[in-house]
Amino acid sequence: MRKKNQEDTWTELKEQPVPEGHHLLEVQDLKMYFYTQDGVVKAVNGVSYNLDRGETLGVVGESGSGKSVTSLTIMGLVDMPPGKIMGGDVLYRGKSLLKMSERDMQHVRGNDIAMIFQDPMTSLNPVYTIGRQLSEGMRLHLGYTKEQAWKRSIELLDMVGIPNPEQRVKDYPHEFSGGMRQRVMIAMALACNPDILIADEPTTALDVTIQAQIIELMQEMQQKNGNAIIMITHDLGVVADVADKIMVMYAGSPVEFGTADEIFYGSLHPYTWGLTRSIPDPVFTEKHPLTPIEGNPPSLVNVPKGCPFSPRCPYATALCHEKYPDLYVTETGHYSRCHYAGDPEFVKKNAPANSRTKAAAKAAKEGGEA
Amino acid sequence: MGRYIVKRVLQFIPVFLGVTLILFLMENVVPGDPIKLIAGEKKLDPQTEINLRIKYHLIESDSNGKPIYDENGNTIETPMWERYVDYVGGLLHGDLGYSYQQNGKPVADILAEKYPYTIKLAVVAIILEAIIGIGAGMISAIKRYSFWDILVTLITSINVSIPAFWLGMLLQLFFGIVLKNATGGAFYLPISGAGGPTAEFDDWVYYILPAVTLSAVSCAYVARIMRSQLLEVLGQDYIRTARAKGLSKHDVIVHHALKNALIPVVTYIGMDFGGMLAGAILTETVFNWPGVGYETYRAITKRDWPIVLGSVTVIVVVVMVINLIVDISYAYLDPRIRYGSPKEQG
Repeated sequence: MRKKNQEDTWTELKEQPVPEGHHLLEVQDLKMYFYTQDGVVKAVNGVSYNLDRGETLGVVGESGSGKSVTSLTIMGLVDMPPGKIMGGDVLYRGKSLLKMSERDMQHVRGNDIAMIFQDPMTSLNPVYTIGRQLSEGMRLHLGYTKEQAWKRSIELLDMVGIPNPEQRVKDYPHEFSGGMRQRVMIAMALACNPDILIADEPTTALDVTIQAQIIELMQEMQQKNGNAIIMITHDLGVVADVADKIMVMYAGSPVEFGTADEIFYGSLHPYTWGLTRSIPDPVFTEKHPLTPIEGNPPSLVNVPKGCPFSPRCPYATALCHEKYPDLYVTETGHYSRCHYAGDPEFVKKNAPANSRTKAAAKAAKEGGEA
Repeated sequence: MGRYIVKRVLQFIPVFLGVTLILFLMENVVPGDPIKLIAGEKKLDPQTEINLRIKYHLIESDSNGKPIYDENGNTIETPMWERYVDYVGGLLHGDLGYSYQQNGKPVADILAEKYPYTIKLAVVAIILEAIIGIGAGMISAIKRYSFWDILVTLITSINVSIPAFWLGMLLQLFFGIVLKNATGGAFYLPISGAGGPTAEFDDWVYYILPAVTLSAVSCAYVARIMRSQLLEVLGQDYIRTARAKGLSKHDVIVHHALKNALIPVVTYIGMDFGGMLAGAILTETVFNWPGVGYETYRAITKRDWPIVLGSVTVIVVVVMVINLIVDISYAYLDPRIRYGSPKEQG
């Protein structure tokens, strides 16, 4: 294993200030395609967003919408080939991650940008102790000795709420429950105090009761360390509480991007509306069932002509089936890729009711009666 | 763990008794009188014959080694069950009986003389098998679909379909005869025997061809298992986790993938080593290798049952011990396997 102190040319990126005019992380029209036997899979097709320290970005979309691949591309963990960057750039503190050498990228991974994966049951190596797996990153990036890293591992386990960490650090992954393992994954990701924590569906494989604990833990750690979080999920409910910004993805491209407020209360895209309607609500009954989005997401080899969502969109017109929509951007930076996003009548008529529109309608009604 | 080992060792007893009983019965079912076999063409005088029958426990004798006669003055044939009990009792004292041929030499002495050759050949073969098999498998997996991968796949496919004896003969033909003739006798490899009278490594050239022959098929299997295991492990989530930590591809393979991928390979190599220690009858016969395999083969053709019985008995014990060692080594490679203690399970 190479140690940090053997490297002399590398400057610690996370200790550098963010250059003027740049954000902590800038993804600019990123395109990454897979070249397979079945054809070109446009897995990431024009993703853009900015992220600053202390912020949380929620990335929402169905399975196969390119959420995870986008973050794997940022981390440089997509095998090339079959993957190929087709355009765009990823800037971290003003430096392009895509142009970095593999050696430099190894410094960024785990050190500046860390990642938590979906399934904690399989994401830990079964043949090594928790302590060894936690130590690894610290020994690599922080130049810790074995003893220092081991001591720090115990502290980290304590921090993420594992009881009896002095004993547990010697245990193997199979001796931990799913929730505990995800805590270990979080401890592992935070070991080197990264700038950005990418959490790829961190709660999907966990019990509902544990889900809340894990989300709280991540927020708590964020407040302590000030890192940014990219929270990838297919569950709008999860990001509702935690995200500052939300990017909704469909078929490899973002269809809407905005603050949590804008996405939940002023969404401008029918796909986001569909997702909002499919959040389970206690008032849903047999008479008022959950409204799913009909159909399935398209194959990324054969993205439909025009707007990719048009075959499933209840409001699609001939234009939607023909022309790929342009971005409709508001003054606040909220954007939507829908032909009709700029039409307030269309939005007002079709957007799902939410607590604010309901309250406003109620107020208007009462005002009218008075 | 201690309890597990004791349990496994206790399980040896029924297996051991079963195997020896079957072999013993087989020996007795096969027609032919061993004493006539020993005598061959010659005519034995009655006293020598009686002494021989006593030596091989074929007739009852008293504590002074004198035959016991019945009321008609005939010797009493020992019942089969009593001879079996005698045999097993002898085994416990390290007495494997006496050869019918070879001037009635104790079987234990013959095996002690032959076993070092077999063990050394097995060690050389297993080292070859591990290094070449694991190495080829790794290259094949890491450089998947490359020229090297295809080459390895092709060679292993051919290797597994070649019988060991035929490969041995081809090697003898090429390295012993064709090469010798082509170089005018300057360069060739020995094709028979193990060199000097002792099993020292001074004559290491004698080991090359038999070891290659013995390990060829297993080598191909090891390479195949290694390739598929490593590919499977490299697709696991924890490999991605390790990469996300910032480890290089090299470190990920060496520190994270290899140990996981090796678990089934170690099993295979361990079992195979057990098999090789049992004596590679085909390889040893082709190369006139003075080991237990060749000795067993010779004993079978000459109906020298005590040697067959003795060597198979020893082989059974060796294979059982090796299997136990393989099973125990699992627990060190894979922490999910813990034997015996219920607290640590699950």
